[in-house]
Amino acid sequence: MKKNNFISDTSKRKFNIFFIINMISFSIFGRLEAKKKIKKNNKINHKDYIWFLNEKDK
Amino acid sequence: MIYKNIDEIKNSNFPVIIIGSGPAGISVALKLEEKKIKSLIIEAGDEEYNHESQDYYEAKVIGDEINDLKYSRLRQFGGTSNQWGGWSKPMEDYNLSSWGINNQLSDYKKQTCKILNIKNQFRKSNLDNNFNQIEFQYSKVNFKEKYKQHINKSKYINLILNTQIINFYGQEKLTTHVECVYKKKKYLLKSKYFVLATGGVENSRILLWTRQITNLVDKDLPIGRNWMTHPWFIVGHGVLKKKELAKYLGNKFIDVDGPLHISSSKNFKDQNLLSGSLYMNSLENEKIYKEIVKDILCIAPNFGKKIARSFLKKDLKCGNIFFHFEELPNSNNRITLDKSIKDKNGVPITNLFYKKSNFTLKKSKIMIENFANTCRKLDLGRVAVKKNILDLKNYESLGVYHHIGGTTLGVNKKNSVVDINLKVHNNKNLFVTGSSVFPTSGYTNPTFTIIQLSLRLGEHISKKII
Repeated sequence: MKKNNFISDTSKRKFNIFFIINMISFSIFGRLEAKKKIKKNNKINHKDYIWFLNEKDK
Repeated sequence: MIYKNIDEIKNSNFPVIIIGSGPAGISVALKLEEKKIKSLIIEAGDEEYNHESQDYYEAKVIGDEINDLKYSRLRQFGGTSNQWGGWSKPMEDYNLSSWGINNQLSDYKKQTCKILNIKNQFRKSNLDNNFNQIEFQYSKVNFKEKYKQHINKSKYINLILNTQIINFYGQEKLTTHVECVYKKKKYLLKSKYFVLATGGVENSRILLWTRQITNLVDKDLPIGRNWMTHPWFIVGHGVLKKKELAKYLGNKFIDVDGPLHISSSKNFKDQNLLSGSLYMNSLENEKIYKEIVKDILCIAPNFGKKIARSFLKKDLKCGNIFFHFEELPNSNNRITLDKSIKDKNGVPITNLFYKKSNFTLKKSKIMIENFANTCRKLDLGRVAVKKNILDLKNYESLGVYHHIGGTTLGVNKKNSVVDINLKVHNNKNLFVTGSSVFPTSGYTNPTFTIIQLSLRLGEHISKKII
């Protein structure tokens, strides 16, 4: 019954599809944001880090 | 049985009503089913994602950046298990020791593994006094997919979808009804026991609203307070020699090519420090691999040459070091009800106040310094730490996905909302389960503990009924 209502209302269906895409992109968005931040760390600027070394390493 | 229409059950009298069909709610129902006790699970969302339902998760975040609360949790059958990461592990005993429930959760470890379809194997190996290698299991269980058929055929578990809870009703601290909305019409459903299992934000919101419009819940309970998460950030990078690691870890279970998980030990926690875990990815990123080797060749040529040789022998574990850290409960980090905006059912939307803590930053600095020194002293490899962490400036959060606290458990009513059996203080039959009852966060991903707690709650309620 619920599915029939959903299918018969075309305007609502378009709206739903839009929001499903929106929702998926938002849920991925969080991960993409994290991925972007991680990627930023893959480029190393040695000034931003301190190595913990032994004397004989140098 | 899964019902499509609330009219089919509006006059039924289920001994237990559970609000929420995520891992917490379904686990309570499974335990009750084992004891042949009928329950009704009320789920606000549909079987599939539905934007109209998701709209009820609209919330305001005040303070530091947090992932949008409308999209970082799911309001549908199976809850957020529809998009979770699957990392599973019981909490450390030293993190549970302050909860006042002794070792009771370990009784439910085996069943939790069965629910999550994972091996009951969580090995640990000492690296030194401060660190252990730890083992996670990865669950691929989506609760809707796993339990839909089971619930449909069950004589004891009943589920109604698309039914939104507004609040609880009752008198003299006895909860008698839950008010809900189905297709814009209000219903009052009756039961002997009620379990609130709607997640680390909604549990607080529903209790706050119930308190505002009834006298079922004590005015002075700290509902919504002590909200926590697991700060997740990159602390630096490193090169570790796989053979040396295997030697120190006794080669008991280390999978040198898999993800490396290291946690702080009990000894570390006993030094008034927070517990945390760090990991290096299993999928080595070739680009960062080369960058790190180049960097150490410039900074420390003698060691760099050795590392370059190990690089050729493929004996290196190399990459960013991620932290997953404990956060101390702080009563200023809290959930409240918005004073002007309400959802379509007239319930105020959530306001979440959250500030990152300097204490977390200080303790994470100590942990990474200790780890870097351990690697150096044992010649396991070398670690480079981010300057902004060493200078205690900031950490860049990679995201906030774990919602913990708000209805914390405890004995003292001044700083807890539910007792050790998860019953709301001074209420006779209203229970809460999920990560919102965690009084401390530990470092472990919360789902495993949520299921253990929920199975324990199911057992507790069954003893009251039988």
